[in-house]
Amino acid sequence: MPDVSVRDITKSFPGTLAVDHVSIDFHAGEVHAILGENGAGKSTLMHLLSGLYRPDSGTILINGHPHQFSSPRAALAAGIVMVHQHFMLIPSFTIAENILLALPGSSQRRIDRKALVQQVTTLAAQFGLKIESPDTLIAALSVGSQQRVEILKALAASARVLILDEPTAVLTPAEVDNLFTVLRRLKQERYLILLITHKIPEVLAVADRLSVLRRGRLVITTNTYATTPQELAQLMIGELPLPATRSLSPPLTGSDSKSTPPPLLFLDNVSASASPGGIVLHNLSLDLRPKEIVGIAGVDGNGQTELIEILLGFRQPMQGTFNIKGAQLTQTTPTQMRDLGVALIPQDRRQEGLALSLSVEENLLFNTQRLAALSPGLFLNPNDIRQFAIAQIDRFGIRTSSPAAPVSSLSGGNQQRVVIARELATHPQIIIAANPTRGLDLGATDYVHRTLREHCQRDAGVILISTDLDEIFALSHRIYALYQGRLLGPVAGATGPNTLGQMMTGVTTSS
Amino acid sequence: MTARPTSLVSLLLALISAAIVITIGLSFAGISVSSVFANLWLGAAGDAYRLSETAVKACPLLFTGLAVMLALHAGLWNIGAEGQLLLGALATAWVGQYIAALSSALAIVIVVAVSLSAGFLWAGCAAYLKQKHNVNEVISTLMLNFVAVYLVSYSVHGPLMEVAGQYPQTNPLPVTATLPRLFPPARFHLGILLALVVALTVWIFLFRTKAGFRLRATGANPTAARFAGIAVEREVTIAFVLSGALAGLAGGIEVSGITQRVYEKFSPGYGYTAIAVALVGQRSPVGVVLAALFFGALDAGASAVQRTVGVSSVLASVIQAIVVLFLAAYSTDTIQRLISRISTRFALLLLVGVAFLCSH
Repeated sequence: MPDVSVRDITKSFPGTLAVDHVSIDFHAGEVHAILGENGAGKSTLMHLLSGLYRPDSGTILINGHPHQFSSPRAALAAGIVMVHQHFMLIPSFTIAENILLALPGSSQRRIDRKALVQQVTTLAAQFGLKIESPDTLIAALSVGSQQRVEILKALAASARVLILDEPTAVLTPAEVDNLFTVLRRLKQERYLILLITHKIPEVLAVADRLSVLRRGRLVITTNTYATTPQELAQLMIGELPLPATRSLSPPLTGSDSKSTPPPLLFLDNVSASASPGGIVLHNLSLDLRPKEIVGIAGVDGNGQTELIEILLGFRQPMQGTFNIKGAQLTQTTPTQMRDLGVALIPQDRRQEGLALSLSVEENLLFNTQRLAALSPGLFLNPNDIRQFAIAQIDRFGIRTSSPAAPVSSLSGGNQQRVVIARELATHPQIIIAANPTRGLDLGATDYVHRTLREHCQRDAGVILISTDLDEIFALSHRIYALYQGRLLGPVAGATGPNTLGQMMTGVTTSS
Repeated sequence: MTARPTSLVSLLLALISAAIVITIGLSFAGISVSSVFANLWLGAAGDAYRLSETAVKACPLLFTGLAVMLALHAGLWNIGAEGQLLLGALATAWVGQYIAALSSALAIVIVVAVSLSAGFLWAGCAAYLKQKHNVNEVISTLMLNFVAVYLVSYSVHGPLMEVAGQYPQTNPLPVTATLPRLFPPARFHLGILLALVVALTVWIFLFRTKAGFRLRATGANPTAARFAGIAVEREVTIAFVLSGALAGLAGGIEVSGITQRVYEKFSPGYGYTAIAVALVGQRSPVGVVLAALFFGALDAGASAVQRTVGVSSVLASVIQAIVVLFLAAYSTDTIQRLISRISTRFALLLLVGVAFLCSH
């Protein structure tokens, strides 16, 4: 029964110190929660344990003996397995076949299918893992079922330490209860469960001990009973002083101004179903008015993607109403939303924002608003395109060898400038900015923030969806939290940061 | 907007490598390498007539190559240019029976329109299957090729068989519907000029119109295109039917310009060679023109090699295949990283050097 320890362990990536001299002792027979925001270093720490990364310095001890893992397979040999948030199963294989693949020595030629099925069934029964017949294809399973197969896979491979990465993110409440029952049973059998999470209620429900990470550093390791949810939220988020120059303003209401323009964007009681592995949105109500930035804070995977899909017209609300500038929308398409003046700075610029094989100037043309803004008619004028590109490169300080250079040759920050230059070039009234500064250096971040504020002052409204609380507080006039598909808030005045932290981690649902 | 220098370098290296492999192969077979290459050159470009033959062979490859290239720009593999070409040819032969009385200009316009439409509709089947039933276009276009082959076979044995009833082939087109030859007796016909005009049009469409930009944007990153408000499904359909129309036109022009009739084995696989043409042409219209000429020259030259040296004209296909294989090998990431260090000028010099060595 292994006790696992990390001692003074450090891992850096170019530009960031992801794990900074962390030491924790984990004991066999406990559920140990690793708490932290996005980017706190909890996943990196667990990847060090599971053999995906190698530490820059520090040691991993198993039962007091130092170990070095060169690969996840080496970690498995020592009994450590990570169950990833995105399952590593082959959809066209059956449950039994997927489990077989994970077994050591699976390269042997003969497969005793009967014995395998027997073993899988026994293991499943022993730990209360309800699964379909081992001959069912993975593709036919629900997300919860797939997760149970992942756990079974680890158990069948004789793992004794299970690392679960945000295991409840994609589960229904009933499935969460079931998972916790399984975890408790594993604990009784002296397994060690490491639970990566940002949801404090779950920690309280299932963890014996917990460690909080913030910006790569260990904040505390303690017994769960010795702490309170409020304290944990505070420890996770840290101190967030409000910027002195700005304060949160209440939303404009109809009585405040003489002529009340309709809100730019208005969601009333909108719900949406989940795509496979996604989040269900529940009863979202949100309005956006000119000259304001509405911040939506939250840890990744709480419905941000689904909300963006609604706002961009990819996904239809199942119920509720969606208005843009006073007009109610029914069947929406991205083309229509673009026509209505909605611009998007997407979360993933390389996948969703740019065509890497095209040139900088072509990427500056890459949305229907920009295309429509060009000279009317069917044809493109290369001189206009070039001149526009040169103007944007100059105005946004995009560092590129030439407007015709492929955008893939630019640094991340400059690629983001290309996206922002394009999206804001047509002076859209509604700007949806999703993690607009993720991965940027300080100078570039500052620049993006200034640009968003400028556009806001010019009558645009911005919905800022971000996991970065500094950014949310620095820019927003009103702040909400997105937690498990529900929009909480708005957060009021001076108690802001604490309340927001508690909302994002599920401690409280109201300000 | 132009092919990257590295891809030009890899093309040149592929040509060099192919020349070396062919040289080695011929040497092993005890055949004079220099006479093969000399006759290949003479057969393709020895005199005006040979040049005209090269252009004649290049013509259907240019149309179909442009078709495959257009689809590739939208991120689609049109493996069905062969079938679309056959349908275009068949439709031309069919409509030819009814337009004998018309003026020549009108008849030719009808030939163009009918063959375009036939290819358009045939590719439209694949586009429909893709949009409505999510059928992979590689599978559907490939399968439709077989349907087209048997449709031609059935037609020339049945409803469209020549009146004389002697051979399984259609009646010849009426003279009015025949494309004029510009330098008789050479077979250089008006369709070859039309092909060049179409190449220019495709270039303008792709690189100088908003519709072409939307299509290329879709091919470059469909996810980002969707986020950008581009109706990706619509672009895919447009690219597909335009591609099919170009391939259909290839069939119509071939019937009207060269064969006058449709018969089984009407196409020696133009639609498949077109895929190689589009790849060797580096997805640029100018590149496709050059690649079609190169492939046409190989075809024309290989016939001469067969006559004089006695090496089978299959040699053309072998060279084409080796070039494409090397091109594929040189497109892999690791090799691209090496190639990016080689300058275009150096590769050109190398090519000239190897050509010189081979011919001596």
